[in-house]
Amino acid sequence: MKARAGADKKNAQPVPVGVNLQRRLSQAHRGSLTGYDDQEGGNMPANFIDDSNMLGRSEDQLKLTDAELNEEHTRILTARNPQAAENIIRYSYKDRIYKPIPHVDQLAVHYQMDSNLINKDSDDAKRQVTVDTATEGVEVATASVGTDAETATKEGEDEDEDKPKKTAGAGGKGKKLTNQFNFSERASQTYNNPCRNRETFVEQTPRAVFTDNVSQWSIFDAYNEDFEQQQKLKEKESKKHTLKKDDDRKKKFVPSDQQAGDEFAKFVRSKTANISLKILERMINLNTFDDIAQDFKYWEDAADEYREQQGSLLPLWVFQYDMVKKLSCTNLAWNTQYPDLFAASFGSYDFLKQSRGMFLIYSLKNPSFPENMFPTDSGVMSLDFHPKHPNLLCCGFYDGSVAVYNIADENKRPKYQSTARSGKHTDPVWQVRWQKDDLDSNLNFYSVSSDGRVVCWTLVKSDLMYTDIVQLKLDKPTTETDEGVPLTTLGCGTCFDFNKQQDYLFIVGTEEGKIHKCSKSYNNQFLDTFDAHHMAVYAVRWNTYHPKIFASCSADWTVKIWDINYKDPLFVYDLGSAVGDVNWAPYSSTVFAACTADGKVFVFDLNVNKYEPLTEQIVVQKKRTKLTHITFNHQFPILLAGDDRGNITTLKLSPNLRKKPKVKKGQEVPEGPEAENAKLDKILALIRDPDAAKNKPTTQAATTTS
Amino acid sequence: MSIHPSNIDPCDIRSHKFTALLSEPLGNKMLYKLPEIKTECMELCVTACEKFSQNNENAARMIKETMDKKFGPTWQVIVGEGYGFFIEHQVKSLLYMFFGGTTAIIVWKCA
Repeated sequence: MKARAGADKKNAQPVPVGVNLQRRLSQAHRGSLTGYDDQEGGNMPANFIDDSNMLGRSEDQLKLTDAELNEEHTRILTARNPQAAENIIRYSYKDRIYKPIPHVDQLAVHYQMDSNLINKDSDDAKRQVTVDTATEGVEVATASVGTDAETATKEGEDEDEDKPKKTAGAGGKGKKLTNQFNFSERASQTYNNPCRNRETFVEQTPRAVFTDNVSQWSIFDAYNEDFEQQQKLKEKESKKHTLKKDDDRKKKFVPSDQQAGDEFAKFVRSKTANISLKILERMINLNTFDDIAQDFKYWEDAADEYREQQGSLLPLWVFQYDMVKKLSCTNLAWNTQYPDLFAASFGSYDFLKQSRGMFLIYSLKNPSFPENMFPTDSGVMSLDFHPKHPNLLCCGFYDGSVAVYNIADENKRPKYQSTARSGKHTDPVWQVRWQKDDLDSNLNFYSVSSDGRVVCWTLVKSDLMYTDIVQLKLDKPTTETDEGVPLTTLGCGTCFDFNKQQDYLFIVGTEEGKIHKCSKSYNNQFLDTFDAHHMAVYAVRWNTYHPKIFASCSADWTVKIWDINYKDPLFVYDLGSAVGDVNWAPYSSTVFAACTADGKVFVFDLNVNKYEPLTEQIVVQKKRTKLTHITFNHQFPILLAGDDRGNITTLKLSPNLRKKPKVKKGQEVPEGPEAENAKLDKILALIRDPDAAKNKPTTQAATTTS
Repeated sequence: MSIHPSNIDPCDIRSHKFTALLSEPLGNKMLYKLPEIKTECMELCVTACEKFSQNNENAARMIKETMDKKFGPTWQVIVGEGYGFFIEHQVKSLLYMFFGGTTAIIVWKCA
């Protein structure tokens, strides 16, 4: 500014001498605005006071005299563009001459900057505003895309036209001010999750329709009805009370019972129900006695490893039945076909207390209740299953009769029964045994009884025919009566057994303590007699394998092992109490068990210990119960012991009791009857020392053990 | 008690019976409700009607609101002295009883 003002520079009087107050524009340092300022550092130090520079001149400046310097030059300022040409000649096609252009454009644009505002009141602005409002109104009225497009294009045109125009600030209240050039609306659409319609139809709640009309008289009528009904009820109740109460009750009870009973009974007795009920019962029993069943199958006494010469008996199930609680178990027999089925006969040994009897069929699978029960009039003393027909059972009674039952029969009557006429015994039948079918293939069995007869009964069609086989005559000299008729007194037979290998041979034990060896062929004579015991012989049994050895037990507390060829027993065991039964094991020729009246069971193994039992164990629960019978199962290692309280105890034999003899490695284990025989023979040979042929056995007999 | 018409003035019979009957608060014309709900509902109706003996509308409102709260969403209740109706109701959810010799209450549920 100062520079412009200083265009009249020549008018100003420079004071060149020594005073730096004013400077000439051309000479003044460019950039300095005030003359008096100190020069800023960094610029050329024009303040450099120097002789040559005192006047502020540069060295190549024109040097003029003062007079020349004081000359006045006039300058005239005009608004003419000094750059613009002064005379422009243009060829005019119209006039066909060169013509000077009168007006030359003198406009010089020093600086141009585009702005973005236009005056509100200018025409352009107004036009624009109307355009904008118009578009707004259109948008509001119709929401169609087409109009939008129109307005958009319209706006676009406007844009192109009014390039330097900008949007007016005002445009209606609330209208967004948008930059027309830079403003772009951007919209974005998010992903819309696809929608799915699901519908389900619910079952309609059950509905019913109800209609009525309520009015005062209907209410009244309803009350009346109610009243009358209540009256009637009261009358009925009073009537009821006057009736006999007992009759009512009885009437109520009997029909309901019968009804229920009939239906239930029918159901129970139907065959299909029977089977399922049976299975169910067995399952329940299995569950109840589960641990016993496990023991029965799998338990082996581990202690047996440490004690070689001893074994033990594990009590398993105990079979009890209410109705036989007062009876003694008189015999036990295993079924030949089903190894878990056994029959137990019950009666009374007491001479004075004779009442009814029973025999029960039990299964090991159902320890709580017998499978079948057959009540009888008199005590059953013995029974036997037929080896070929497992449903046939013969039994001998206390009253001397024998009977054959078919246990598969529904009714509990015997198939055959001997009567007084048909040769029944006059004394209790102590033992019965089936034999092989005779020549006519009739079933037959033998019985021995206290009346001294061994009788063979044959089932011929529907009859029981008897044949006396042997009469047990006593050796006593017959008493001589006055008339001189000799009476033959008969001994009382208590037990017998048939040789397994030679069927015709059998031994009979008597109450006098004698054992007779008899044959079926010889009726009158015994083949041999042994003075076995001092008291009644309760059981005689042939060895399972050896054809010559048998055992006998007696009320004189002893068990004796005999060889049929020798008069003296091979082994004698004193068991401390009356021995009820002795039985050989089916799996070994040297093992046998005995049961005594003090409730003990003894198991012997001649192979292991010839003089002492391997086991001596009390198996009864209450004291003073006598064990009456004992028997081995053919398949499982268990013993059955019956006592005089009607209980039957199952005992499992520990491994020591079932041992087979130890074999040297490499040798085959000898199996089968021959091996068993050989085993026994070896033992017998040891006993019968050749040195003292007869003495040794007697001395052996003398060394008794308890 | 039985009222023998012979020894009572015929005009008096009705009123006599009426008053005698009125001594019992209610007689049931028909009940058709689930047994657990039945007794509660009956007692509720009796309470409501005794409370709002002048105003049936309030009684009905009370019954309806209580029933809705206790037993389920939609119960309809009508309390009145003379009206007729034909309704569709959900099975086993209908109570129709008389009260006090004059009012009849019907409560039903329809989903």
